[in-house]
Amino acid sequence: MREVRFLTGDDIDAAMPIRSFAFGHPMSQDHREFLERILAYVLGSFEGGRLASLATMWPFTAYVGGTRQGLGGLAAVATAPTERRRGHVAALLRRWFEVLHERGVGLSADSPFDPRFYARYGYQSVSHGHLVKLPVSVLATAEPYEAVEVDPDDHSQVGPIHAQFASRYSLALTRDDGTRGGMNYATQPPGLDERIVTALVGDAYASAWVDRSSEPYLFVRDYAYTSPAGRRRLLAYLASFAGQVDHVLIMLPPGDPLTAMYGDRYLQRMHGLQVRVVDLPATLAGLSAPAEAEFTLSLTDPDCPWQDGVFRLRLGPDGCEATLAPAGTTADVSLGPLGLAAALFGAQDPRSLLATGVAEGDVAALDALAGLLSRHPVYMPRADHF
Amino acid sequence: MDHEFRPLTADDMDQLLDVRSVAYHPVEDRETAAEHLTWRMPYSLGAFRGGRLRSVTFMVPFGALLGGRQVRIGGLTGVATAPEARRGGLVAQQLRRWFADLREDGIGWSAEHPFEPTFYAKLGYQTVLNGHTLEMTPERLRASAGVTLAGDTGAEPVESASPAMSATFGAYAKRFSFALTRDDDIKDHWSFTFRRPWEHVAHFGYELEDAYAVVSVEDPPVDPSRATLKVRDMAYSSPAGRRRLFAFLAAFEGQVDRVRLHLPPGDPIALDRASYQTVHAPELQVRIVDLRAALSVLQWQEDASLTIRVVDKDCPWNDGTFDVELSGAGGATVTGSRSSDPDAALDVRALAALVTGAATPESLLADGWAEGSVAKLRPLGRALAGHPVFKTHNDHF
Repeated sequence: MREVRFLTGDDIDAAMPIRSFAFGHPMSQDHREFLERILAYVLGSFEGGRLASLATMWPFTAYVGGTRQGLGGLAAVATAPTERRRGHVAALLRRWFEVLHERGVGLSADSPFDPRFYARYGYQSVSHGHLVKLPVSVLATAEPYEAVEVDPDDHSQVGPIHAQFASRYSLALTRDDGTRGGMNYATQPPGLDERIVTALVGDAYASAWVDRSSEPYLFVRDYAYTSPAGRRRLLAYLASFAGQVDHVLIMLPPGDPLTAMYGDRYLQRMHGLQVRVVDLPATLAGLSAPAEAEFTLSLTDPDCPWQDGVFRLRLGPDGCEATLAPAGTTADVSLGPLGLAAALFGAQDPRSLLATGVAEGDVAALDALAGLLSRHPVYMPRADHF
Repeated sequence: MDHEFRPLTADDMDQLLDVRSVAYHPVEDRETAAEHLTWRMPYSLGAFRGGRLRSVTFMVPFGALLGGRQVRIGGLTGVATAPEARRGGLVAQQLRRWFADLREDGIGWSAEHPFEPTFYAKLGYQTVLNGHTLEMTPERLRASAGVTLAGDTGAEPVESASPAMSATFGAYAKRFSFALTRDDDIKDHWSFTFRRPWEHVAHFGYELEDAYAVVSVEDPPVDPSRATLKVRDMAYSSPAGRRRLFAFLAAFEGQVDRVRLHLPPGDPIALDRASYQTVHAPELQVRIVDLRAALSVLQWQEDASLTIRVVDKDCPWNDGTFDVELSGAGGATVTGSRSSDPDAALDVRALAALVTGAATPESLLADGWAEGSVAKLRPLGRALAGHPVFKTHNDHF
């Protein structure tokens, strides 16, 4: 008999070998203590009382369209080798979707090993920035700067800089909710905490380290700035590593001048990002649209039955809402969770949605949906990866 | 002695081949190379000194699609300078002449594929992301396309473009901006698609209902035993056509290890695989050579008015303050302004980034590309929102 429930301390002995097999984590005391700390975020699927599969959902807060929203961060999904292909992950995900819905969380995201696996459950791949390995010389600016090393525990100055920078984007984590160490995960992540230096450069900062595993390069784990001059100072600081390194690995947001110039030429393989709308009304609440629009949307989503139906959407500068329409209501546009996330997060333009068969219906309705986050493109900094 | 700038004639062909030979790679078959260059000669400009060709550029007025409308763009190509004349500013001088010519011809936009993006950026060209060039296993292609290997796709081999293929391409390309129309009678785009002049054998074309593909199977030089299916050109005109197309390509599973193809922004396969399977491909850069013509050919989403200060050192007619009236019914009027307090100020590259959607107004201001009002700049960024930039590598010039 199958049961899906949160893990307790009694399940850790069963969870550790499954995670060790899947991810290579050592069977160590650190591993045990880590699991003890996050038990409230881990659901397990049990078969006949034995743990068969588990999935973590971090209770993150993210910037979305200029607002702060709860974001379920799906991570560390692992199944015992002898229990694979038996639907455990599907059961875990459906239960997690219910939990998020009950908690008023509208969105979940993941970084998949294979994007098609989670696409089956409604997770849509989205563009989320450009990981580039730039020649250090292209960063040089004439802006004078003073760099000051800051204590990795001291976020009093870097925190506000990050908040102003990250709030321009969608799905960047706020890092102020205590989840997974918040800002500490950028400035002193486990395993790299003694190698990363965080430098304050006026109204900008960078957390970086020199990777010497092959040809040395500067790995910028995190950075932010709050003004054009701050950006120039930041780049000048990074360019000062010329001589020590030839290249700088950095995750650039969409629209950055360096992205525009070098996004094609120096692009590196990176983690994918997928997003799923698990509760449409919760996702739209708090957002504002550039123009008034009202239409009906048919969402086919059997994995989230509470949003499987036709919604009436009202979008406008004063706010947005989605309410379930009476049965039999005709829809202006029809799509599934993949199309919904693709339209909302700018992964597909409306005409592509129609041309590729991901959505059907009225392009004007899709235009309105796509306009919601157009001023806040998706960007997940490297340090936010989960 | 000053340089003389003039179009090349047939008498200049030998010199042209010499300059190209040292700029790109040695020309072994001069006759074939000359044949390939003949159609371009009316669009050439050379810098001569003492009768010797020192530098050459071509600007071809290709038919292209921009925001759903057919326009002409200046396609900059074939830029080459003799070694003894490098770093002398000859390319910049030629381009300024071309910009003036394009303006006289009512052409607002130019595009090119740079050897290195910063060179042309100095002359006002802005890099714009141009879809996704991916290389992946046929299995991954099949999984992301959501197609199966079973079933007849109805593919029929063709040796040249049929009217149906041309129509399919037309329906596909009109969704995008800077896609060539291929019907401008400047060059034989479709023959070029099947076989470049320097290729000994043609690529293979396959026509399907509402779709087509032109492909070749090649052994990569690094690991010749791992054949790659290279999709030179493809298009579809319906969701069903798209499924047939990718089912056809996925059917190469077992014959090839990898499939290389250029997908437009928003394609579901690209969304799945771009983070993992992107390979290097030529960049696309665009330039606004005439602000008035560039904005007036676009379909705007709403009526809006703004006053902008534009900085453009290479196109003096663009350099100034302008009152811009955008019409939701289509078109725009751009007139010189006497305002000393514009709503926004930016250089011509930032303006191109904004209009093509490469950067949002918020990013332009936050990153120091522009100054002024986000709200006033915002309408300029919506012209191509429904027609993202995508110019297939097959139409490389």
